[in-house]
Amino acid sequence: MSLAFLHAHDCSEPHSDAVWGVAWTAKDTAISISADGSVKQWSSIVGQPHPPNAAFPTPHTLAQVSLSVTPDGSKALYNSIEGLTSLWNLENGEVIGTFESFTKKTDESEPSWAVSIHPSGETYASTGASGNVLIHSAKPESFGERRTTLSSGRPKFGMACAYSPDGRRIAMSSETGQIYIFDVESSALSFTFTSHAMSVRSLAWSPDSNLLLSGSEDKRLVLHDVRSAPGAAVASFSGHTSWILSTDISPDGRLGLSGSADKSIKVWDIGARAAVSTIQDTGEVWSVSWRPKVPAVGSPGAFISGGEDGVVRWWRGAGSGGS
Amino acid sequence: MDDTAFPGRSVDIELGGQEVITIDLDNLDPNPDDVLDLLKDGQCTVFVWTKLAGEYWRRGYLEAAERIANSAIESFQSNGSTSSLPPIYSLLANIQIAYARKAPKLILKDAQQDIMVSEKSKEYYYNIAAQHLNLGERAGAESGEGVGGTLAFLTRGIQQLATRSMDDAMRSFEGVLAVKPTNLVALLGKARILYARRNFREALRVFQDVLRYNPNCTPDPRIGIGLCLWAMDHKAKAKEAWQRSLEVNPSEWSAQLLLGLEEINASKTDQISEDEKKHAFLTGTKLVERAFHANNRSAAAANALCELFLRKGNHTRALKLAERTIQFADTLAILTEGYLRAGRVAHASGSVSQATKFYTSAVEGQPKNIAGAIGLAQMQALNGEMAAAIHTLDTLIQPPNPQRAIEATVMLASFRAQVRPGVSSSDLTQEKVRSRELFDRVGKDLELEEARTGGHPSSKISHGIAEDVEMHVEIARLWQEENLDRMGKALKEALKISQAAGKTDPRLINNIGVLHHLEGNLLEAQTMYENSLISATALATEEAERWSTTVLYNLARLYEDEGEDNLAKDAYEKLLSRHPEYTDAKIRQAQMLTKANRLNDAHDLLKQTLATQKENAELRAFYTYFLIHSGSPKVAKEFVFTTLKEHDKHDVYSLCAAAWIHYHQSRENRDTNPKALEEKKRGFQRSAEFYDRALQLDPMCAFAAQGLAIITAEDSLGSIAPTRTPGVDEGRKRLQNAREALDIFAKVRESNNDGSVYFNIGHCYYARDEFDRAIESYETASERFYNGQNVPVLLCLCRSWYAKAMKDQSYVAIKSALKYAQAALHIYPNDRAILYNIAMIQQKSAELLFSVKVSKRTLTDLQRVIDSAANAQKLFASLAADKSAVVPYDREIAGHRRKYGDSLLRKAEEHLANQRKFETETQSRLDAARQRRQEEKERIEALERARLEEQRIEAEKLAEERRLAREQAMEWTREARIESDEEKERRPKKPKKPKADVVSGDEGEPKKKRRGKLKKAEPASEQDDDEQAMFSEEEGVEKPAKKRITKKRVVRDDDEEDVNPRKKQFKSKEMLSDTDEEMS
Repeated sequence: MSLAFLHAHDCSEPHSDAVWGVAWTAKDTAISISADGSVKQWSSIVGQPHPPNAAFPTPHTLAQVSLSVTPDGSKALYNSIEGLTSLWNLENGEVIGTFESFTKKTDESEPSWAVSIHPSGETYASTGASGNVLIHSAKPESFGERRTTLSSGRPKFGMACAYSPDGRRIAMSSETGQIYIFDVESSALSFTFTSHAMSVRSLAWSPDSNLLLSGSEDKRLVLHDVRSAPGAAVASFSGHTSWILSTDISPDGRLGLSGSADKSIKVWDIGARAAVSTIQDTGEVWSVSWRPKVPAVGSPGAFISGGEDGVVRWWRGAGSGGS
Repeated sequence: MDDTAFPGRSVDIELGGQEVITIDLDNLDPNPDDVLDLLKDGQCTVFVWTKLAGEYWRRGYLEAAERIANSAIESFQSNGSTSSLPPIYSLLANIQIAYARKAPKLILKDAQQDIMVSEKSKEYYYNIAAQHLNLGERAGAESGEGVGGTLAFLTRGIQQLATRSMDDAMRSFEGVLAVKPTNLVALLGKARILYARRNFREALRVFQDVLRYNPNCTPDPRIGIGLCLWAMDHKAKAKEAWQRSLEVNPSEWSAQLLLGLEEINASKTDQISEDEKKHAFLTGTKLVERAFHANNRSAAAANALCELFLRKGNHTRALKLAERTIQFADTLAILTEGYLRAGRVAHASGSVSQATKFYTSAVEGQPKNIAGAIGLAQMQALNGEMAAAIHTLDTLIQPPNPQRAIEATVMLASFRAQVRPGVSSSDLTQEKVRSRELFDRVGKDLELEEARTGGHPSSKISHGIAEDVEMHVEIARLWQEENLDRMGKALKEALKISQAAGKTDPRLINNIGVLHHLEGNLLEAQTMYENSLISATALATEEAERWSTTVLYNLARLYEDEGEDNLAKDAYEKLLSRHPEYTDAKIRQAQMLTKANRLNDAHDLLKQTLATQKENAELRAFYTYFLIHSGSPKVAKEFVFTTLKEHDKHDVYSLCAAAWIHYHQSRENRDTNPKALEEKKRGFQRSAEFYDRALQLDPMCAFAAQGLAIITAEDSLGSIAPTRTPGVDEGRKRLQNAREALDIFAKVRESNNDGSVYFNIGHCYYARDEFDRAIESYETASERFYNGQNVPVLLCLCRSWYAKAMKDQSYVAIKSALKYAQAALHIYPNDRAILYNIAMIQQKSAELLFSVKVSKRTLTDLQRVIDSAANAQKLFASLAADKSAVVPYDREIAGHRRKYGDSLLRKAEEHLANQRKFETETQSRLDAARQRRQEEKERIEALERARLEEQRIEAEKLAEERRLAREQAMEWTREARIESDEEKERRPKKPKKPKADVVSGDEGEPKKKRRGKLKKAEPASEQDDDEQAMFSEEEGVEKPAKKRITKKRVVRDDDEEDVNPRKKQFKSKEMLSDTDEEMS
């Protein structure tokens, strides 16, 4: 089986440097963060700034490396390369919280690298050099204040973290390839997956919060079932010829998505365990994100990608409508 | 002598005065006794004696003739009339020469088939002949008649000719001819000498003279004529001459032989059909056989016949004939041929020593004989005397008088390529080079030949050589280590040939696959490997098994390179299930595990393999590699030294690894006390020594060269010397070192096209402060080899851009530096040093723009760098406050930087104010200019409007005038019509028409003109407008750059506004159509 994804359009005003993170929101806008320090919001229909003529937050002087959007598409959390975390209210365009995580406050605080906002938008998780997951307040009045620390027990750099859609788990992956699943309620480490032996740069949950897809520098994607016994890798997807930089699972849970340093995007049929589409891009594909709305029956849906050239691109399954 | 014409066929002998006995010459008694008595009694004159002797000779009774002659001598000596003896002596001499003709020239003592030991050699007879001649001369001299005389001269000449004293013979014959220009014997002799001297034209003329003087002359001059014609390449005429000769003298063997040879030669050309060939060959053979029967002591006939028997495989007869050829050969060429044939017979029947002897004789006689040299070389090769064989062939194709023999060249090349015992490796390399040169020469020769003959290899030999798969494979092997291109060419040629022949060697296909693989043509390589596997199944089972193992391994390597790790893994497992000790496959498995960062598994596998394969150099090398890469240099060091000490102290890989470990250890040693420095220096020295040894063993080792270059570039040996040279010198030294290292790297790059080389070249340029070139090299390394994922390279790029920015005061460059620093941190976020660098760059960018003139910077950029510097403050604060045990930067300096930043930022407002002021002024100047331009434009437009108005009024006036004129004209017309009606009632139509014409013409022309003017005027004014617009734009362009930029920006904004709505519209349209589609 193979699917065809067509290039729908590009964003109208590309970033001046690589796009390192993208997210398609529930309100059919797209957020992109870039190495040039800027964050932008786009209308997914036409690829133009959204809302029109609105000013985006002032670009930071350093690159933005991590992005997380609430499921309702009302807030975007992003973090810069040195650890300046910001919360952006997408409805009114205001930055409602900033937190300089690199400013030392206690022994446990550390510069955040990757961040993930809780589905409720109340808290957010971050990971970094210590290999722990820190839970911070995401409320404007106490933004950034540390609530809890979830320890992985191994001081390996945390490359990515992600709240499950049900908000009950946090997955964190390290530079040496381990993946840790924490139970939020008990603040305890549930499982450790050792399916990769190289840095895992991206994690994605299935909509039902049961499956976790990880993309690694070992060029493989591995699908884990967090319900089963520890370490249960359900499937492994190989085909990329370089590091996998980004991954996502479609809202119907049927298709996986990956962007790689081999300058290609691949769509995977999770049931068939096979790549069903490969799109060749011109540069590293740093970030990919499915449209969160479940597509019409028979349509594979749509997604966006952000890459080395600073352009956000919209792709849609052949036969499906653009909107 | 025997060709003297006789008037009658009888001779009269007077006995005692009156009695005359007539001897019928046609019925001579074979026994000459009666005749002898008669002659003795008759006291006959010399003439009678010789006449009779001659007659006996003519009939073949040579011995009788000799007896007569001897009796004559006795008889005359007893009479005391020795003066009449010279003719007898001449006769005797001639008889001896005739004997000599049938005698072997050379008697083989150990002849196997053609035993001639009992016979006397030509030499013997010639000596006797010479004695007789001398006696004759003496007799002549004693009798006072002098040495002269045609007969004596001729005889002498013949003797000299027979003994190959050509010059003397020539003189003798010329002497005769001076007296008797038509002496046939002398002429024939002369012609033969001329022929022997290859003066064919002259020889032909003389032969023809002979024929003219006596058409029945024997020996037949036609033979000679034919030979001359043949030599002058008039083959058909030559053949005619011989055929004619055969008609005249049907029993003469030489014509038969020559014709036979001609036919056999003709049968070898490609121009005729197979049947014709067969026919020609058969005829030729028969003729040669007949010739041989006619004269079985002719070396040429024997030689030709020998070839036949050789081909038939009748070795006994062939050997006999060859031996006969040798023994009777009267020219070197034939002798050599004889030896060659004998050699071939011996070779074919397996007696190598015999064959060697024969070939040696052949080559001794003719050192430049191709077949001889090849034969000898073959024998020498069979005897294991490779050096001798090479020498033999070398002598053949080397000057003096080098022979152009492709087959010999190919053989020599092949011999040279072979590994021989007792040849040092450096000699062997040289031999390989020579061999390649020889093969090159062969290739060129073949090409030349092909070009000459228009696409077809002319001879069978060249064809055979060009189509020799083995040769191409050998050439490929010779290039294997040095030039893959050439190797590929040779292999492809071999494959082409073997495919054309319908049998492809799986090894060949595999090798070509490997070449494709090495060149990175993975798909082609895969096809080749798969084909190879298929054709391997056609081999014998064991062979097929062996073979498919190798190919499968190659295929697995290919899968690895294609990124098909699973397929590769399966393939290796399959291989190991069949051959559990296949170390290479295990090594690859370990490598794959290493690549997947599963170091422990890899390590276990390697240790397990090492336990059984302790001696395997590849395995040891890989284990060394593994240890170094998995961060255990200490273990690696021990292991390498064990390898060098206990296994192979000449292992280049281990030497390089040892050198690297030493280098690395020394470099990482940051201790600065004198003892540690000494240690460090010694480490560098040892490293250099190891590289040096590696290079001695393998002068082409790029890795060792690169290692040495690195040591040179960093001056690791010099810079830590106790007495350091002061500043300036040191700088120059550094430049010098970098230059030297660059030279080496440039060479290394040619053989080892790897990112590390470009990386090092970048370092050298950086050391020479050539930042642009450093950046170029680093970028090549990063993009072409490391996919932008190599953090050290990215950091070097950052450093180079930073240095360039500082040097050129370039904001663009410092932005690039920041970009690379962030890219590096993004890939490897766990490096706080990069963060420090980022803070540094942020601060420096502000410092940089502060020092730049207002006109060279923009407010936006300035604001950005001030923000950056402010951010850097926070970073420095965080970095300085980091409490980690070890940080890869100096906390104190981070604190200083922060303080410095504070003072730097204090100036920020001032700079911003300056910049704002400057830009406002610029803007207002710009606005003013624009204002002026706008006013000017409006003024011109107003003028234009006024002018247009004027024109309009003018036009209206004109229209009015025209109307009036037209009415006037109508009036006139009406009047005129009335007149004409009156005048010409009969033809009302005719005048009407021209009048109407005239009227319309009258009316039309001015109209047209006016309209034309008007029209012209309008576009002209438009044009003016345009021109003005253009002009004004040009004005804009000429104005200062600042203004232009602003203007442009304005324009662009306009454009964008223009474009956007359109886009929107377009998109929504698209959307609509999409929905349509869905609905339908």
